[in-house]
Amino acid sequence: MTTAQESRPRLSAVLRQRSERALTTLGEIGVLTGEAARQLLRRPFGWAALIEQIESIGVRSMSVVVLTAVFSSMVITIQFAFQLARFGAKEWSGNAVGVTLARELGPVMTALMVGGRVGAGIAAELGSMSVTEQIDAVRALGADPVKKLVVPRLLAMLLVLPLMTSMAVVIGTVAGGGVASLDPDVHFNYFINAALRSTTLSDFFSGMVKTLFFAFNIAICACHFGMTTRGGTVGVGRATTQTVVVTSVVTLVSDFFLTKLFLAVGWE
Amino acid sequence: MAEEEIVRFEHVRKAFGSQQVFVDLSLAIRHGEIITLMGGSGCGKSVLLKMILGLLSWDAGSVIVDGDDISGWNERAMLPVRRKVGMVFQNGALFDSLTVFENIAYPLRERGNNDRHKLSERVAEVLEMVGLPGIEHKMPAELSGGMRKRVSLARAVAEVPKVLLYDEPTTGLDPVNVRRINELIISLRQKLQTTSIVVTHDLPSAYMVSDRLAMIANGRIIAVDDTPRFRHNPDPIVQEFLTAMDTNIATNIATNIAPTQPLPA
Repeated sequence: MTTAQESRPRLSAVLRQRSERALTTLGEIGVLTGEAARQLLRRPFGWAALIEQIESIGVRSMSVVVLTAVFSSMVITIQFAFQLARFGAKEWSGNAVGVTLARELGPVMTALMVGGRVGAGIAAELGSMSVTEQIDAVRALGADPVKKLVVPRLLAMLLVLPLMTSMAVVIGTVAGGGVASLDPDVHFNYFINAALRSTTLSDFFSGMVKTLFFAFNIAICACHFGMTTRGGTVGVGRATTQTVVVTSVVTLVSDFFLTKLFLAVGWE
Repeated sequence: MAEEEIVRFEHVRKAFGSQQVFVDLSLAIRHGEIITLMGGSGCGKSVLLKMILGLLSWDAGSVIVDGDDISGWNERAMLPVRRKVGMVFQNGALFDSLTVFENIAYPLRERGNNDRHKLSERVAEVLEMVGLPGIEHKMPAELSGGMRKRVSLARAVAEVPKVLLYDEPTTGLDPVNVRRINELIISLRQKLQTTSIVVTHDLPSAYMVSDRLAMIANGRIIAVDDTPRFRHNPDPIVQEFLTAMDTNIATNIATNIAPTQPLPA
């Protein structure tokens, strides 16, 4: 009894502390977003840093995105074909794969992979800069760390992730067609035509709007956790893990709510 | 603020959460002097330096830099103040992804100097000043600890500052590099006419370079005096600190000269 009574206030204190921390983090991310938007409009613009980040985020993530798109779409094609075969509608698998890739799987899988690879990289890089006082040095030398470090990463992510998602959708559909055509009943061209026919422009734009939200989430969370890193190398590790967990959870949860929202507003 | 003062702390109070760092700290730093701040670990010496640059805020009191009370100033307002102040960070804080040239040229570019020829000239000049000519192309990872600190010093003086802040400039360096850094602090004051504020635990270095010494304890400045007189300050905390430092130095010397192997018969 005594133990239970003693543990009650402790549990509520822990919950309160965690809620406060979560709200503080949300507030800090909001402030960082506002500051990034302000710095974006301020001259001179750091073109060199932006191009460097596009290369780092885009080109170097290409292989992992292609690999994920190919294998995940091949798996869903096999599953769709298997289930549809029961109803004698195996050739319809192209329709299902096309829409699923454009609306859901393309944006989510790409965001998860890029969030894991690039988000962790950004958090580790900025975290190391923070614990070695390099971010203080940027400020001391008369520059703004948000303009120098956050804006190029955020912009590059917003530009690159939609392109990579589009690429993942196209490559995934082709890979799906490839694996579907191993079945003598399904022709490759028929699969691709079915996918193109069933995937409307609104499916594609629905995926792209989600992608923009995911890109913003990955970049801003990674920059926030990186720049607020404290506590040496242990802190860098913690910031990296936090970034991967938060960006992945936000990607999956927001995907559900965005899907509901798009359907509710008639964007089907 | 008296005319000969360049930095002044007035009744500054600062806490990190529940940890009170400064209770009522006041200190005036004169134009052109080299003053060393000493004190136990965690007493807030580095915090004081970061306040001058506006990298950390304070809860109450004023910090006046070159006539401006910078209390509550935002990042944008701090830019002109930061142009007057250079800082040598504890571990150099060189940007890992940039070469030595890019690191030193960084503050110059931030102030709109983009002429490659002029930048090259200035970078070569300051590298020469710190005794490291011709290393422009190297990356920070290729430099030793002493070299990193000297490059950091070169970066801090690339735009001639009115005030130079040194955070533990000799920590972790071998005696030759310690001497080199100390000589640089003295020679840069002579060449650039800057005011230097040094934070260190290294008592011999403090005695060598400083015009004045100040000691922080219990959240305030407990002693500040000219270097020769500081040794005889009657404050018990100061005497305990100086005696402990002297004892450590003596122990280190004794340990280093004691034979580790028995001498042959």
